[in-house]
Amino acid sequence: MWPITLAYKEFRQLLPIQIVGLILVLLTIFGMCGINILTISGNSSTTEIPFYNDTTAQFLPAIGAMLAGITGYWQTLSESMRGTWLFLWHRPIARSRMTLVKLSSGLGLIWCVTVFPMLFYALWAGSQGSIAAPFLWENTLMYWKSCFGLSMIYLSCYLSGLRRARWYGTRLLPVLMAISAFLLTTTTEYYAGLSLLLILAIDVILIAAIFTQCHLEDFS
Amino acid sequence: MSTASKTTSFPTNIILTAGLSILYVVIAIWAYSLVTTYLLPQKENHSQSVTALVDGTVLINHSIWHPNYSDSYYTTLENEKYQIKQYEFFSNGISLIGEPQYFYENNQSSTRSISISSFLGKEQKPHNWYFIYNSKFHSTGYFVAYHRSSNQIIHYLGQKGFQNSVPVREEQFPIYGSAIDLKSKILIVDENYYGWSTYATIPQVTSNQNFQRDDLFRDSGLLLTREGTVLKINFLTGKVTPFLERNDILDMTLSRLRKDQFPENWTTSDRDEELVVSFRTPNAVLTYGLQTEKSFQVTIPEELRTKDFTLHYFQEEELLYEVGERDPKVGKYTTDLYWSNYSGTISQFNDDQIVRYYPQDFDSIKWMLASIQPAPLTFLSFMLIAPVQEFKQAYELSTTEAVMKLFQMSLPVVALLLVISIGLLFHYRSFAKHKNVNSHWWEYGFILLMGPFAYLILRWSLKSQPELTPQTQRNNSIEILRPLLKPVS
Repeated sequence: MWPITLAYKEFRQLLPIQIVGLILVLLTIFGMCGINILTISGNSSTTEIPFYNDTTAQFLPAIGAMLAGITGYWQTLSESMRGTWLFLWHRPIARSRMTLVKLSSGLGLIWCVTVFPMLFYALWAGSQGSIAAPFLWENTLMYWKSCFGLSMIYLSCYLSGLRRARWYGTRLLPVLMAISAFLLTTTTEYYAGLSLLLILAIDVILIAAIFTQCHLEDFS
Repeated sequence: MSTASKTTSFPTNIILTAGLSILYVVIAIWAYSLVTTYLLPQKENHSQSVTALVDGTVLINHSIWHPNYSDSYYTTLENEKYQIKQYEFFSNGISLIGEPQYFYENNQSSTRSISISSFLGKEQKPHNWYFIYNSKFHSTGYFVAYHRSSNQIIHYLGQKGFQNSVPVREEQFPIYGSAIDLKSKILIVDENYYGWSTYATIPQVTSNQNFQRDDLFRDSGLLLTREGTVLKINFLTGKVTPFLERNDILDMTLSRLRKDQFPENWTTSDRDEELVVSFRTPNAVLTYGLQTEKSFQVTIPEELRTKDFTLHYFQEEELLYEVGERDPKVGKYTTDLYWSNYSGTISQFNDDQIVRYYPQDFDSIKWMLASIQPAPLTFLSFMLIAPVQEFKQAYELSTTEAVMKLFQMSLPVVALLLVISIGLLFHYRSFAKHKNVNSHWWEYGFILLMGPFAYLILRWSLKSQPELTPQTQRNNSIEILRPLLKPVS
């Protein structure tokens, strides 16, 4: 039952970050529904066509990217700072399996926070009488693609946190690469197949890099 | 003898190399902008454009911009300074395209596959109206109206009028979907309404909107189809009728003309300005007054029938055609002026009134690209993607032909970069040998493709072990024994 125990430990440690992320996502969605909780004037009108606006094309993916980055770093740097890497690696379990559970937990939580609230929003916007503007499932494609693209940011930050290189040296290079790839693949709706393929290829290389790096780093 | 080990795996090296190549591009561009801004002398930016007064005076508007100063003034065509007087009015030029197929095919800039335009309805209590269409070149679109308070769909509108469901493709309006400007497809209200933003929003009722119009726009709008017909769409009754009995309309645009710009006796109203719609056909421009409900026509001179132009109406039925010409091969952009009458006879013309040079030297571009991306693989990727559009237009080639020609042009640079990569490969090989590390064939292949970036990352990944001296040997022994040396409590 070690995977559940480890996943639960990751969940407990990441919960505060995910709660902050979820609050930001929910506040944005409420704003798109016309419920502006933070405005004092109580302006309740909405001006944005669902999934056809800068909020879903840029603002929410930017929140997701920050959340993914912080999650990736938190899962690795917190282990380094507390000195718990050695404790983890000395369990009688393969490092790759343990890493797989950590990555699945982190990525799963990020997607829970970014995908499910927007899925509910899409269902609301698609139901008759919700909003006096058209809702088209085709227009949601760009947002789901951005969510998939968050995996590159998360995995690159995890790799960056795992490595013992200098911060002013090569340690931030994976993050720079992932941010560039994220911008390249998620700022247009065209070339959807090609973008998904590129994201998948980068994810595979990042996962391979993380798995192999677990054995090469000096965690003492 | 000291030995070395690798601190990064091959997948990590791929990621780090990609990151390093991006970092190099960022630093190179940043350094270039720093040098051009602070070290090189700043050039004065002088732009010119043609402008005209309704009395027929043609002027050149000069705009000078420099980081330390800016200036704007007018000159006559004889290059004498001109001061605009209080009672003089500028002419609103009417821009019309001559080849919509070519124009819209090369004008695809929307990032979304489905586009939405929005406007407030013409009902007493206005509904929210949307025009939904595919963003592709040959597209179709339909209208849909939403009730503002119940948020329910009221009806859809296609070529056959109001419908309860989305019109089938054949009943939608055929348009050029790549035209992202709403004004080039549908005219609904006056010219101030058409905003320019990435995304349409839900229409909002504002206090300064006046819907009590007495012209065609009180209940209807005009839509230009891809087939060259102009349809009048009544948004209150859903009736769709041809507005002009012809199907060769190339472009339409909305503008305001001053009284002096109309033909004699065309209007008897005492209004200073009239709202007009101009329709361009292959050989004429038809101008329809929305309030007067009358039209007049001018014949386009034969030389200008396929060209895009801006038309100025002057007093005494005189016309000025402002034509932009470009020669992408040499990067020459000119503005030519043609004076004509209503029957299309050119009375005077000024070739090359304004001349600008923006040469696209693809030979320089390839060396510039090589300097910011000196790895064969990334250079070739950049070279075969980035300048393709400009290259296609400059040499009038198809995409495949342009890519092939760019590939041929890139070969000398690729060869040079490969030579550099091979040099780095041998250096890495001897360095690894010296460090007593086995290097693999995929590392050589990687250096060959990613040049200096791969070389640096692979070299940095070789970590030397500390020298084993009697001192370190003694320290290590102490470290191993330290737990045993702790006092027992």
